[in-house]
Amino acid sequence: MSDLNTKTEFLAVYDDHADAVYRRCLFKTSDHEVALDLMQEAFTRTWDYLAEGKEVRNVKAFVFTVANNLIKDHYKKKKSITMADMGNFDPHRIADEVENINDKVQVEEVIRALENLKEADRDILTLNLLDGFGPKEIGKIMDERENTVSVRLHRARARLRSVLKLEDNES
Amino acid sequence: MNHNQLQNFIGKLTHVQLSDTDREAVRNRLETHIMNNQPIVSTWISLFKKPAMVLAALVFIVGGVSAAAEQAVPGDPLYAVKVNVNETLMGLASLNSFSEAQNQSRITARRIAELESLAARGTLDPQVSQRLTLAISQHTQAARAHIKEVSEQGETGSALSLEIELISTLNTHSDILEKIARLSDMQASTTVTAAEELRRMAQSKAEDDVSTAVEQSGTILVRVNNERTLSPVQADKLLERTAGRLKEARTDFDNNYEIFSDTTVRDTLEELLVTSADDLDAAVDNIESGDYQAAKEHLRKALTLAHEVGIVVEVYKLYDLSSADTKDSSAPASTETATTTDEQSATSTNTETEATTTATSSDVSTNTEVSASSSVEVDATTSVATTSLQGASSVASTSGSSSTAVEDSAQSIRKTWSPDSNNYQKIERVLKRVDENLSFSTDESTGGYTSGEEEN
Repeated sequence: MSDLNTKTEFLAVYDDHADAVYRRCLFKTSDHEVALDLMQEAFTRTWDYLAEGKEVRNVKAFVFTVANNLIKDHYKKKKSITMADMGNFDPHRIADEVENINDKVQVEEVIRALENLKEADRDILTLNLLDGFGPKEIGKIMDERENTVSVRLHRARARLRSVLKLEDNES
Repeated sequence: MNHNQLQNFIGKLTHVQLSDTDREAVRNRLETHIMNNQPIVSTWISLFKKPAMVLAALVFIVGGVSAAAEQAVPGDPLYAVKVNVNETLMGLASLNSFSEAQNQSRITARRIAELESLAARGTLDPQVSQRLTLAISQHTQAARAHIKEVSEQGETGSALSLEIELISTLNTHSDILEKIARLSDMQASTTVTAAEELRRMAQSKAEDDVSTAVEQSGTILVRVNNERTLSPVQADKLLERTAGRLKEARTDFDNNYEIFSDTTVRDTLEELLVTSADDLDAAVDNIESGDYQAAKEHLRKALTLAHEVGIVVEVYKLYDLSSADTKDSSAPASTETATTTDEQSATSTNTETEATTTATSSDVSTNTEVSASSSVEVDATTSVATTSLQGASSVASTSGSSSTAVEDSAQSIRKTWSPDSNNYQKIERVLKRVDENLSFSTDESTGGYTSGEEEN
């Protein structure tokens, strides 16, 4: 990972993961401008960390961790918002960021399903199924024990399945 | 539904993407940030590959000459060492736009200090003044160019803090120079001209530059009520710097409490610190409620006042504590005193002579210095008040709707001139509140992960 502290290598990291980090920030804030700001800050701080000569083994997980902490920090500042509002998941505002109408329909379908889940389940499922992190990495990103994440992941998948089954039956 | 089906289902969320414009804009800012924040190790290695730099560093470390040169003013033999060696080395330590801007601002303040020193001695001739104001103008422009770079990297909070401090430096010293001019008949018009130049620099297109850069960074901004404002992350950075400056100014004031023989000056500075803390407190409220525009204006006021207090304490340290410079700088004041009390003046002059010839007369010398410089202090008292009030007015002129609030706080400073024993605790409370507010972002945003990394 020592090559990461060159401009070209780091910008390649940005090109590979910018969308994923932005999505994570958007799902947690439902605010495009704030998500963009937090995403940029996550990459900037990661660079600063590397520029100090420190090593990072999994840079994607590292940027996600920084982003996650910045998101927590963002809500910590806004004390008028209760802790229950954290992970401000607004399906309409998230779907609004998708321009293509067909894509938007697909995104709305997933978001509707996720809306029925608890925030912790949404987090674990998207980090696992969308961003490709295993329980160990999710544990680091969310500051949880790996075993706890494994159990929650198992349960969250089951809950999503039941939500989707329920929706299928209703339709 | 098996794992793959679930993955495909959730995978539809990949349609949520950055627009090309946003992706490119953030990429450009990141690239600029990378260029300006190169890895420390490689930068230092490349610096020390250059023999000239090594030689210069050795001169700096071994010489001791450079330390002596720090007090030099134009016309002194060591002035060239100060400007060409010391300041070149100071510049080498600046590894990014932010520290470059800080360095240029620092050099600007050094040139201004030289102006003040010469003016206070009554030896500021028009040619030297012109040379120094030209240098100040050039370093101010260089600082602003770097501030613009910082802003273009999306670091609008840091850029704003640099600009506010630069404006405050120019305005505050402009007032101090005007007061010095009033104390001395010698070269007074030259000093006034220099003061006017500083004021003009402060009022030039500083705000426009930052605003333009902020506008260019476009998407990074949060728009509230159609007004451009700082993003949450950038508001934090401005908050952090403002609290840091207030803490420095408060500590500096506290450590030098006894040098203010005139209690009016002391009380005024204390009041300014409290006003700064009040604005800082209000800014934290604004940030918590998500009103970043209001937070920005409160932070602008808080930082302006804290920076002013810091500068005034620095000037007082110089005029009250240094030996030869103090006597020189207080000379015009002594002359002025002499016009009203001949007896006092005679005592002062005699004791000063003794002090220069007899080492054992240090106590007397100290007393004399205080009395000799007291008229500088008394007059500078007005300077402090005027400075802060004028500073507040200049803030008002740039902050539109908040002008009334600034004028009100300026008025309240005039009225509540008396000291308040709870002031120290009040400032402490606000600083602690800011610390708690910022602790997460500064300590844990990367640190949390680091410990996890080490476990592997």
